[in-house]
Amino acid sequence: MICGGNAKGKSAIVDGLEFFFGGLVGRFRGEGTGSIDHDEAVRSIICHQTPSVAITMASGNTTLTRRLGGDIEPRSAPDCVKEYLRACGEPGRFILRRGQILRFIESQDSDRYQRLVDLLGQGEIRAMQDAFVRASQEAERTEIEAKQQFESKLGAFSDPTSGFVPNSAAAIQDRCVELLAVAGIAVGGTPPEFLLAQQELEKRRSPSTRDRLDAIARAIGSLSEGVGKDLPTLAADVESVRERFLHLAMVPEADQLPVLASGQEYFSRHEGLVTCPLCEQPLLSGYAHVLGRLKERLGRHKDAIEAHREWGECMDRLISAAEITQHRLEEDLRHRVVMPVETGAGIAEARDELATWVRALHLLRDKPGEHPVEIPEILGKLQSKRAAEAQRLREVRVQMITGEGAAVEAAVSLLKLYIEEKESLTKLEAERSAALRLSRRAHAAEQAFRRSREAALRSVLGHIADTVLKYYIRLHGEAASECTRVSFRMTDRARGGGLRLLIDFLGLKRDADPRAFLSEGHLDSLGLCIYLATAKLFNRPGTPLVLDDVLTSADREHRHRVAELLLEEFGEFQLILTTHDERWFSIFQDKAAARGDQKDWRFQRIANWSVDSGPESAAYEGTWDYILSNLDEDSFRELGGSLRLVLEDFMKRVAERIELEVKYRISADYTVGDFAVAGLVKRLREKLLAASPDDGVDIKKELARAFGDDELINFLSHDNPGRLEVTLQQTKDLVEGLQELEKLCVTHKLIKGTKL
Amino acid sequence: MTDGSESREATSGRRSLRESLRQELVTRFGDEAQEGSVLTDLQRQRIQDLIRRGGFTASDVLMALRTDGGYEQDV
Repeated sequence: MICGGNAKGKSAIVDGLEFFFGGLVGRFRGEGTGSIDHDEAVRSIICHQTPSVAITMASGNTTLTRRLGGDIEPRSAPDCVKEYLRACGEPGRFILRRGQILRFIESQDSDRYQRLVDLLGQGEIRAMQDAFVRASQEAERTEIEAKQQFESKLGAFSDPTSGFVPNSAAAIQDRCVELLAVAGIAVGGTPPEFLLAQQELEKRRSPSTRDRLDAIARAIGSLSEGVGKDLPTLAADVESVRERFLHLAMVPEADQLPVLASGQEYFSRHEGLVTCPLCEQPLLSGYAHVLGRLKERLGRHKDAIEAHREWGECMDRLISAAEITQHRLEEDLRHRVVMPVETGAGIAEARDELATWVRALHLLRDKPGEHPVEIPEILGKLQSKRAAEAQRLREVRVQMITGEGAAVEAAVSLLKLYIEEKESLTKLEAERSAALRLSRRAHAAEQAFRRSREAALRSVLGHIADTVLKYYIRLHGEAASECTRVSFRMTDRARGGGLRLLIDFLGLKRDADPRAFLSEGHLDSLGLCIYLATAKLFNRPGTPLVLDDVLTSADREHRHRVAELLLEEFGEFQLILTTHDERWFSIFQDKAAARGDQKDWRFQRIANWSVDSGPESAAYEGTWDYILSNLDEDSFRELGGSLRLVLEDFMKRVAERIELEVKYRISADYTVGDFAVAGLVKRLREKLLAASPDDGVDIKKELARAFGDDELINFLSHDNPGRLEVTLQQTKDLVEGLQELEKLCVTHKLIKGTKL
Repeated sequence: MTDGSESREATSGRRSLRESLRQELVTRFGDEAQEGSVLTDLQRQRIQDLIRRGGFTASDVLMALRTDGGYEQDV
């Protein structure tokens, strides 16, 4: 935990962490950063070297460094360190700054959805949903095609004169039995019975008209089969895919797809990656941006390839249907002999146009989306012309049949057609039934998955919301909690989905926007709880969790509860807290100590910030390193406090070793004056001279330098007017004297412990 | 700093929310698909396997729905 006043560099430390783990500082780049040049902003204004951040890992005593635009070095770090870096992920997931605390609450529904639901792997679930939707669409298309083919075949058996329009093979069979009964032949409907009945009917027919009537019946059967009914639908499917091509405005490159897919998979598996695995160059725009771009490109490529595949499938279906129609017309033309010349010529013309169109379709198939598909105009009136010709032939047939022959001819024409077509009729009927069943199943599966997805997401989002509320109530207590329920409601207003954050206010107002009801302090708490709940649920234990000055004045009355929450629930994370609030710093230390967790924490104060070295810790300020680095004309007058600390430390350690009797203080905060009064200098001089009589001159000189100017340290203390009278040389003499005495005391075992 | 092995141990002790979502999806699909009984038990199980495994296509779904008295047997 780091405590320091404003402008002491607390956020710079967090910037350093963000830079180390992510390669950049987010607050200097992206939305709202205006004209800030990131690379300039992270650079020292007096040192022009490449900015870098180094972190030393306790594990294996490994020091890792990241430079601007570079990767974390060395790359040969131990596996456990690499695993740790991977587990940490993007800094955005584990660093919360003061200004971001309301980010989730103030987000648009779509951004909120993206942020939270993406953490749940929603992209993959969306892909599952797409697979179910496509399966359902494909099954439905197959069902329509099978239905049309079967109905087209049934058309050959319909008889507008008698009003018979069959809807199944069984209906045709029943009609055959019925017509045979009218002709005086009773059958049960089995195939052998039908064959015998046909033979019997043939015997009763007039030889003079039989062949002509058969030819007319076959022509009627052919002309009654529907043609090209499905062509408009199939052409519309092709046009729909063409529009997708135009919208995507890209040519898919199938070769790129596996590269992009494996790239995305690799990036997803290596969170926080900083170097491109292919070119080994740093990811200058950051892991999240590159992964986002990969996902977008992969999505577009997938869409384009999918559109390409669908184009091929739709064109194949259209070509197949056109060829069937062409074949149907050729069948019609086999019966041309019973038709008027101009009717035959009209069908032949349509067949030829169709053949030309089919050739054009084959060419277009390899040029996806190049131009729209247009059905030849001649096909538009073809069906009605064929129906009219079939009707004319029926009337001719009626005129040719006289007396009791009518019943025989009606039965024989249907029976012969049924026997000839029974096999294909049965097959088409079975295909239609199977396609219908599959379509129903695919639709049911799609609906079941849609409901499951929503229910599962609701359940998991409910779990997250419950955790948020649990933390919130821990901060405010059940009785004082303004917010009595938290929920995430999925909305579909945004294209990709939306997520609304709702609360119940004091149990009086349900499903309300928290911004409209919660006080500023409670809103901040809610923001903090949302962040902590998502971190707890999604971040890996053992990874960092950085809260940069997020406890505001609005939360002052609850800060002890925030401390409890963090200590109890987040002990498994590497918590790093910064604050400007001394009271909160103190509360947290006391709580940790009372829980016996003190050993797991380091509490550091930032004493100063300088343009040369940035934030300086209070502990560092009391060290010899700090004193020596500031022992120059510019800084030596600021060393009063530090010199006092090292001098007191020296005297305490000597006093303990030589068992000096000092006036007891209940607070134990002994000062230089206490040791001086107790005669420490005199006792030390006697012991040093006794231990090393030959060095008497030097010993006395160093003692005089260290202790001969009582006022020097006082003068160097802040706000003391006397500080201006102290010279750098005086201060250096004191420092050198004390250092030399330390060496002598160590040599003669007159001091305990080690120096600061 | 905590090393990777510690974080692995801590993670292995609890199921991630993503896994919970996946499992929830599998279970709920089973319940939802049972309503109306359009799908056979085997078809439902095949689809649940697909969801559990992930990364499936429309063809995989149709293949699962054609098993056990499905399309192939009908034709």
